[in-house]
Amino acid sequence: MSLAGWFLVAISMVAIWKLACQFASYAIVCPETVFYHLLNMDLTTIVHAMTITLSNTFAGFVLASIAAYTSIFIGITHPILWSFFASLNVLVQSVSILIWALLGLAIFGVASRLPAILVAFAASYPILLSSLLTSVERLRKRYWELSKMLKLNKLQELVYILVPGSLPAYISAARSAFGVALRVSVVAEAFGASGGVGYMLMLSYSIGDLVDFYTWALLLIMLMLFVDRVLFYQLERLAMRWVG
Amino acid sequence: MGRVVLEAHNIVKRIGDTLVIDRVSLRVCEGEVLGLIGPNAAGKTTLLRILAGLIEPDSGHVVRRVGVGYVSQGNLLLPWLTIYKNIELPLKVAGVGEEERRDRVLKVAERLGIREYLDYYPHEVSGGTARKAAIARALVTGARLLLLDEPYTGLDVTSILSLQDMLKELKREQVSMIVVSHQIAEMVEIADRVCVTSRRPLRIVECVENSGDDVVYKLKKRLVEV
Repeated sequence: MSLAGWFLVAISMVAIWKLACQFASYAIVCPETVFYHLLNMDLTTIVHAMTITLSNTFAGFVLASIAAYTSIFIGITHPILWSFFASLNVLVQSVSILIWALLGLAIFGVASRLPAILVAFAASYPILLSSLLTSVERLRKRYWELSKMLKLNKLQELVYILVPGSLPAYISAARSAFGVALRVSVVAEAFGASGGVGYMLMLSYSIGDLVDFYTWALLLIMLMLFVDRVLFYQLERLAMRWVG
Repeated sequence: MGRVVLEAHNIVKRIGDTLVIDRVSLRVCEGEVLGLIGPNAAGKTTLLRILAGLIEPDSGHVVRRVGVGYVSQGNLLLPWLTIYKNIELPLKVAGVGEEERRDRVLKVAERLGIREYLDYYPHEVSGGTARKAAIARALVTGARLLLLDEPYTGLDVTSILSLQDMLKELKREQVSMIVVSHQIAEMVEIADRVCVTSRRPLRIVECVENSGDDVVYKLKKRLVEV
């Protein structure tokens, strides 16, 4: 999307927000109040909360990426293992994130960061695996002759064909997986944690500080946009450079 | 003709219940170009894959006395690698040192006239150059027998002529070839011998020496009959 597009979206959102706050001022804080509060917030608190949320999400996402590629590597060694991971993918997709969050809290406790990491993992893994399964299946059909001709073993097939070939599909899936992971890990933080954007949102809501609540919500949106545009969008462009 | 570089004896291949190849025998000598021409979907690609050792026949056997390079119909250049890296790949997989790899890639690229395209990605070059790059990748390991599946398909006239020149040059260098095609005119330009194949199940109907003016007529007549 061009800069003009982003500008239009921002203007429309602020206009709708402004309009909404006129009609429901008991629940919706006006944008100018939130922006003013944001400018006066302690930067250390913002950075600290965002770092916790980002590192939780990133840890879960990285683990999910490793698990997805490991699943693919194990899957290509035997057709039965391949169908095992295809079935596992369907199963994992059908388990609600709420269940993962509550399970994580029950196992690791409220003070731990692990529930948020587990939730980020559980949200990312099926998205990444699903995309990789489709992409790798297509690549193997297309390049089996080349693999045979070059006498590639499974590891070489992975290194020379499957990983680089599936990179565009992985990055595209990663954009949406990371977005989902970030959203749900915030939910996990809100359920029970001692830090992070989710915790700050819940804290503001609990003490009835609506201005603070809206400011954290705005910060969360800004964080997600930043990660998508600065990290994943650029990575996607880089990975797609060989696609004509 | 020189020594025999490839011999296939009574090759039989079934896919499921369908008999695809029925007792095919053929031989290719050093520096010889053998053309295989026949109806579409007859099993020519399957035969070529068996000759390359990519799939096993149900019965019969293939004797390969030299290194074989196979170039499939779709080139199968890896789009995420530059032409240089595509050609280099078989050497890298084989564990050849970097300096030697570079030397061999540059030599083969020079030989096939694609040196100026080495830094390009496959989608940035013409179909003819991409096909030459695929041939270069097959040759870089020192293959002396090339198996080419429909090498002219999808190319414009200029690319076809340029590819023909390159293949003639390889022939002069005593590289043997088996070329599968359904284009008679292109085939007789390069082949020493053209074998007409039947509809499925594939059999060799007749092999015609490429000498005399009536070869095209003979081949056309034979093709109509099958």
